[in-house]
Order: sequence, then C-alpha cells, then structure tokens
Amino acid sequence: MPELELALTDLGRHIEFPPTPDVTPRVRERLAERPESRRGLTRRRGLALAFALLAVAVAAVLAVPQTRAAILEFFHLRGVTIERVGELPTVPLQRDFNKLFLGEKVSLDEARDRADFEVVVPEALGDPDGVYFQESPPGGMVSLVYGTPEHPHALFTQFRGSVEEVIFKKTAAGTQIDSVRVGGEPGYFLSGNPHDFSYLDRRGEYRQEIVRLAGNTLLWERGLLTLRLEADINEQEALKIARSVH
Amino acid sequence: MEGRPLPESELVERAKRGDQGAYGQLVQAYQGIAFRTAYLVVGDAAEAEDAAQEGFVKAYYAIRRFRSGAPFRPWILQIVANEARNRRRSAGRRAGLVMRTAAHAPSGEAAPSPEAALISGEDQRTLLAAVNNLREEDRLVITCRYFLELSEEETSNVLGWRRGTVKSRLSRALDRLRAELGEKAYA
Repeated sequence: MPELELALTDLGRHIEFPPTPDVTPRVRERLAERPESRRGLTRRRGLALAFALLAVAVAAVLAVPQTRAAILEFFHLRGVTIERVGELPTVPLQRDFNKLFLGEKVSLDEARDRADFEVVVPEALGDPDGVYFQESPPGGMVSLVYGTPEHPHALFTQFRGSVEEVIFKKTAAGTQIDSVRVGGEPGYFLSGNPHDFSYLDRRGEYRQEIVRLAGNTLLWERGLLTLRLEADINEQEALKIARSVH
Repeated sequence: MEGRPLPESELVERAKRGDQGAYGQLVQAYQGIAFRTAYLVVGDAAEAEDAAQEGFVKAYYAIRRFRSGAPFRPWILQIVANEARNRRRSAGRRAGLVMRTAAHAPSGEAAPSPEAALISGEDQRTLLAAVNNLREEDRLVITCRYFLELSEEETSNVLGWRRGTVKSRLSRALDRLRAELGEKAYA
C-alpha cells in the first residue's frame, strides 16, 4: 500500500468518533409493535401491474406508423431533444418487459441507493405502486409507476440530464408541444398523438423506447435532473403534480 | 441465550423466519460500524443514531430479500447509509473529525504501537486537517475506505456509487489530498 494510504489507515485508528449509542432496545421495541411484513402481497401486485403495462405498450406499438419521415421541428431541454417528424418510426418490442421499458423492479430505497443522484418523488401522486431502476443513461434512471394493476395511470421518470447525454423524443405532426415553466425551470408539455423516447448514452449506444402509457407527457428540468411525467391528464393537472415534486 | 453465540448466517436465517431475538443480536453486532458510517455521512451524532435505528428497523422488514449466505455487513451499511443520506439533505453538516485525546486512547497505547510509529502526532494532525478540508465527495470516499476501513463493495453501497466510480473517485481524491499536503509529503 502506498505511503499516503498507510498513513490514512493509521490516522483512522486514532480518530475520535462520538460514542456508539445502543439502538438495540429501541429497534426491538419497534419491531415488537409491528411484527408482520406485507411483502408477499406487494410482489403479486407488482407482477400483475407489469402485465397490464405490457398490454398498454403493445397497443402503443400497433398505433405507430411504419416509416420515418423528415424532421420538421426541434425543441431543446438539457439532455433532451424533441423532434417533430412527419411519421414515427416503428420500435421493436422486446419480450423482456422490464429491461425494455423501465429496468429492474426495486424498492424506493434501493432506487435511492443505486441512482447517482438524489431521487425525487411527486407528493401529489401519493406512494408509487411500482419502482424501477435501470443503469442507463449514466447515473441511472428511476421510474415510479402509479395506479392499480388493471389501470396504471401515471409514470414518473427521472435521470441526470447533461450535455453529454442526448435524449430524443420524436413526435408526430399531430402532437402538440407547449413550452412551460415549472418552479422557474424550463419544460415542455406534449399532448395529442403518441411519441417515442430514445437516447444516446455516453458510450454512443442508441437506445429507443416507445411511449409507455397512452397519455400526455410533461418533460422538465429540476436542478441537475431531467424529469418526465406521463399520464392521461391535461397541462394544468400535470403542472400541479410537477410542483409537488420534492 | 445460552452457549456459544450463533454464527451470523444462522442469525440471518432465523431473522428471515421472523425471529426478532436473533435479529436483535445482529443489530447489537453491527450497530457500532453502522453508527460511525451514518455519522460520517450525516455529520451529527443524534441524526446518525436516528439513521441507524431507522435503518435496522427497515432492514428487518426487507430481510427476506437478503440473499442467504451473503455477508450481512455491506447490506445493512447500505440501508443505514441511505437513511443517513436522506437526513443529510436538511442538515447540511459534515462530521468534524478529531483525533482521540490521550485520555480516550485505548489501553496499551502508552508504548508506541507499530501504527503509531508510522507518522508523528503532528503529521497526523496535518493530514487530518487536509482530509477535513477536502470537498465532501473526496472526504467521504477517503473516510469510508481508510477511517472506517470499509471494503470497496461496502463503500460503493454506503455512498450509492458504482464500484468503478468508487475506484476512480478515490484515486482522484488521493491526488487532491497529495496536492493539498504539498509536493514533499507522500510523493
């Protein structure tokens, strides 16, 4: 071990930490108050939700036209480019639902641990019914799904937007794109026809996904994060939810 | 509990089956390192105690997800550190690390130990001041690896960074620490 590292290890053994409090009695008391975990129930529900989302996704793929046309317009947000094109390309649907759409199903705590940023939550939507994490774009992407298994009604996604990562959102001519502000920061509200969602990650790999729920989308910046809310709601409702994010 | 203490893997299995007594023994065994880890992250003893307590309670309810046979320590440290990080947002403090005074030194320190002989007390103070002066990200990775002596995997869990990120940030943090200390020291 190089000299500096040895010196640091040695120093660590001479550091004074505050005395360790004995938390064991209080932990035991709290566990005795609430003995049963409800995990089994949560797991079954998550699976049903995954199937419901898959059904929605298939419907969205069928609705997308086959050919890609010229780019008609650009809209920019940090880490995001929204292109208006004549027609949307077809996106292949993979069998592995989680990998394609949202990543791995995790708990909110796990998502907080694995993301390279501080995960935020829209309070107005209450507790999410499913939390997903995927490694790309760099820093990770966290998705919160809301709704019953039969009717997922909202999807909230967050990732660290930066100049290196380029996110494309393609929209067909019938999609309306409105410029908005959320907490003073820029955003766009996309409504009307379906759109797809793809990005180039830092390794230059192109990743493409279709719209995940049959809803409208609000995309906005918050500090270092780029946030995306997709739900069957109007602009006012979307902005209200966006303002409850913390 | 009579006889020899049960091995960790057995305590974990029992806790998975809902044995709160067995889980209490795990808490007892790991509360020290859990508290110190939380303290480094949150910079306040009372907040660190809350984070440790909350982390142990949450871990109990999540323990069925824990992979049997895996070491318990990296897992519990991850959960406790996560609680600590959530508390840090509002507190915004950092642990002011200080040297143990002679009165607090473990017994047997009167005669210089091999570690103690490595660098003088004055050099240690200089080194600690330099560590305390580092920016938060650098200070955290150095204190996790060298002061708490956490493994790379544990550091990755505690800070919520990937293993590769821990490696590269540690290397850069050491470079900046060398720069802080000046060219002559630990070249």
